[in-house]
Amino acid sequence: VTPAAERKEPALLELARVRFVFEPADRLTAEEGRALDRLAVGGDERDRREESSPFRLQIVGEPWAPRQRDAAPGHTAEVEWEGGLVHVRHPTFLAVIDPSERTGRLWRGTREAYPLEITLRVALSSCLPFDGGLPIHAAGLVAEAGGLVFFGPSGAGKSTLAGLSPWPVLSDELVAVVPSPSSPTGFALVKTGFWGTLGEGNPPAGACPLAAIVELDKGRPFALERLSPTTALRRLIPSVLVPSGPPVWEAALAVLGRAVARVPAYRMTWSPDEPPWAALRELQSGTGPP
Amino acid sequence: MDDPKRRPRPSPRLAWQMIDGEAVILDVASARTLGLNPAGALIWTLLPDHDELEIAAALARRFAVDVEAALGDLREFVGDLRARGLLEEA
Repeated sequence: VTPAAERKEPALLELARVRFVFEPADRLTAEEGRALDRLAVGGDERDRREESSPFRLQIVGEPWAPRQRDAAPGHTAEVEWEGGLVHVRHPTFLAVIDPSERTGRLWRGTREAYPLEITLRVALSSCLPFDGGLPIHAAGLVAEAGGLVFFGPSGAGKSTLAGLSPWPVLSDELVAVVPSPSSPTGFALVKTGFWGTLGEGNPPAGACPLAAIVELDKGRPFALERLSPTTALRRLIPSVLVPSGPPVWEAALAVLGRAVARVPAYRMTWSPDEPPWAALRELQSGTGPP
Repeated sequence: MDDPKRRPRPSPRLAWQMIDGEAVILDVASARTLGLNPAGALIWTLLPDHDELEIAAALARRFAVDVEAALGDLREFVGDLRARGLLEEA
């Protein structure tokens, strides 16, 4: 993505196979252009379904009047579902997202990039379930046999595990599971461009077949146990980051149901002192727990 | 379901998914989930479009119990769902 001020055409961005168009592109600030460059994902032409419409984000020209003059950028944005729309409210910006129309509007009272980044993250999470995918608060690793998703509450070790990984890391914060007819499990794992405490990495472009989903729990001794599809679905729900709108969740649960029916799920008790990589290799080679 | 013809329906703030004959119900506002066994899942899917006598008959057929027992279980289950705020009256 090129900072819009230097382009005549609308700025385009693809995140986890959801394409974003910014209108008008020349309203993007230089900071926002650099943020889009950081988020930009290399395209993956394999398994591309009939392309859904792009998400069109209108950058509103009139500045958003901050609700409090000295609001810190770190202030948490509130994401609420109201009347079929997702509202993202922050002292320094407001975004209104329509997942069904794949449109949104962003008013901001700062030239910094975080309003746009947060809006993109929420818009992505709102649209993915309708495209047959899921945004998951998880670490994503690309192992020999395919993608591994590691989810769990804060403190479970997502970033720690990602930081120790011998395999390429897609994210320690947010990954996307997308449909993939060529994958043995019917799903692939892709990066979203969003990172957690690990900071930004250099993940491989494209999608990799999703091999397994693993719930993390820090502890000793090391253990890896298979989860039933029903248990996996219930445990995954808190890590599926979609707005609290019933239509979005209805779509997300349908995807989740298909995913846990086809992708093996496990619970892994682990500690950094006992690296889990050998056990995870056995898991992928089919010699691990059934 | 005191009136056999009344049809309580799931609250609009819920989403649910059937899996392996069971159901997982999600309150999207609170992110709390409730798992239903196959009997509960059958009741849940039939509630919006069937009255309690029809549902009791379906339970009796599926789980080989008499209709009277199925009706008692159904009323107890629906009462529990109501107490949890998961149903509203159509």
